[in-house]
Amino acid sequence: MKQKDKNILLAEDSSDDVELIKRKFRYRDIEGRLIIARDGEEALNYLYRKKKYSDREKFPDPDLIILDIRMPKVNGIEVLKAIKSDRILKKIPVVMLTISNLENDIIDSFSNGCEHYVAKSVGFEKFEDTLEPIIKYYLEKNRVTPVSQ
Amino acid sequence: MTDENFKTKLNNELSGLGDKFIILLNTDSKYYFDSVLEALKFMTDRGMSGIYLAFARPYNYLTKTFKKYDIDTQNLFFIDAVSCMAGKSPGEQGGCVFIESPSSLEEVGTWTEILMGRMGMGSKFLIVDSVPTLLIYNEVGMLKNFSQLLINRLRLHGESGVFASIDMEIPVSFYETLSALCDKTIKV
Repeated sequence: MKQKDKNILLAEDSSDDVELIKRKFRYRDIEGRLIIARDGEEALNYLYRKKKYSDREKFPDPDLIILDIRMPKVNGIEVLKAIKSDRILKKIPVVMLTISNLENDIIDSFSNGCEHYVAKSVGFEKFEDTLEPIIKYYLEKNRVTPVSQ
Repeated sequence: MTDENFKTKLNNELSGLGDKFIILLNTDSKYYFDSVLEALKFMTDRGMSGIYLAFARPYNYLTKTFKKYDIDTQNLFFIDAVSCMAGKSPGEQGGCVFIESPSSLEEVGTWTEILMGRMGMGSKFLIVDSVPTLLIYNEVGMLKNFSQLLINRLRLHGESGVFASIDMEIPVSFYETLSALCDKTIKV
């Protein structure tokens, strides 16, 4: 699968942060398709193909999920719990985004199975430098090591 | 394989290794972290002291988890390359050195040398958690050199090492190199 055929679900209520990540896609040769959910409930609707997301062809499973922790309706930790307790969805890597570096947020995120945690409070440049390799890695990844015998 | 089966298999493999070993621990993703915990517990229960290279999970999460699993952290140093990405300032704090990111390989090497020196006599180990996370932030060629340097260092000083990886998550060429450099590849 080519990078451009891969999908990233971004659940983020801040328009500024959505714009920032969209811009990154445009200017840094990231060709994946970015799907935006404006809160946790919309992210769950997408993942479980509810309401306007019922068409599986049009709304395929994402290859990477980026979740803001603080979101209206359903917060990022609750969405993460739902993903990681689902037999199929739990295989999708999840990056947690937050404005804080609160210890509880970090521990909650890792305890519930997130793969990465990125704080927006570290400053724009560092935020970009941290998030970009993660996005690129999962978009470019080829699963090629030998299967366990 | 059930959870108990994989633990038994891993412990049997580890028990057959002798006093000093350098292994590539290649696991199914669902057993990954539990395997790392088992390998760590195996070594700390034998009174070994060591360094935990945390590239995937932060120090504060790890120490809480280790406590829950009854893993003794008294003789354990950490090099945490995760927390600074979540806003922590770099530097040494208690038994942990916080470094900027998993791409700071030179710093990891330097601190490994310093911390191993602080441990004094006795059996020592280094555990790398995880090889796939290192690939996010570093080129494969660089990681091959880094792994070789670490393994050479471990052999020179008679120390043990565990390189923890997830099946299907690293390129074949790197897997083969790492596997050849280690004494054994354990697959669970």
